[in-house]
Amino acid sequence: MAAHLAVESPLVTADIVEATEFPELARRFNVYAVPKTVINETHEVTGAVPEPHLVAALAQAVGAGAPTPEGGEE
Amino acid sequence: MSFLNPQDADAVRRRFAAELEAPVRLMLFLPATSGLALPGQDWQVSEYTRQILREVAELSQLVRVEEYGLVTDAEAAQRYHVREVPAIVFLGKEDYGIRYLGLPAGYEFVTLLEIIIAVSRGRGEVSEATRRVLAGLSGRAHLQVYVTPT
Repeated sequence: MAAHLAVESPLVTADIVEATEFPELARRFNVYAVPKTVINETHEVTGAVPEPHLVAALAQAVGAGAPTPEGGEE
Repeated sequence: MSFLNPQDADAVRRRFAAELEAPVRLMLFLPATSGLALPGQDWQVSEYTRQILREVAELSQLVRVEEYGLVTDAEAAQRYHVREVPAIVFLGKEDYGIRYLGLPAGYEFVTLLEIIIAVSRGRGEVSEATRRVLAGLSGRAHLQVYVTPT
């Protein structure tokens, strides 16, 4: 789902991270169950949630004035 | 050893033939290239990732794999914001900012295929309501999706 959002919007980028192979990242974002989506390092969604739920969390994260992420072509 | 059995390979080949539209480059960043592994890094995961991508690329002329070393190709790694390996950067008509970190095996093999198809088509499978929200975004959103292969 995240990749579809990234293709659709130039403002959205997506990293899919294999949690067991990157334990430091998983620990940093308190990943105890998968899938878990972290948005702008400030908001999170746990579980395979329906599309409107994820999009609402995304909009909330952006609206909250989260830090500018990296990723994608400059 | 092949990751894909002949039946699965044929299914992916048919799906690619039906759904891919434009070429996709899979830039695979590895700890090193030419078999030179750096100490302390999980070379086996990278090697499996390399094998999976090579098998997938054989299933369509529109999919190409390029291999880069995180150290030997530091400029490319920096340009595409790659700091961890193995990492896959998906490029279609443009860089949509999609990265896969780790081995895309098990259930995540389907994710790999879906990303390749979406990038090839230059459009994602989202609802009109989602498109409206995305069109109204006032800032950037970086998503990290943590997954496991099982």
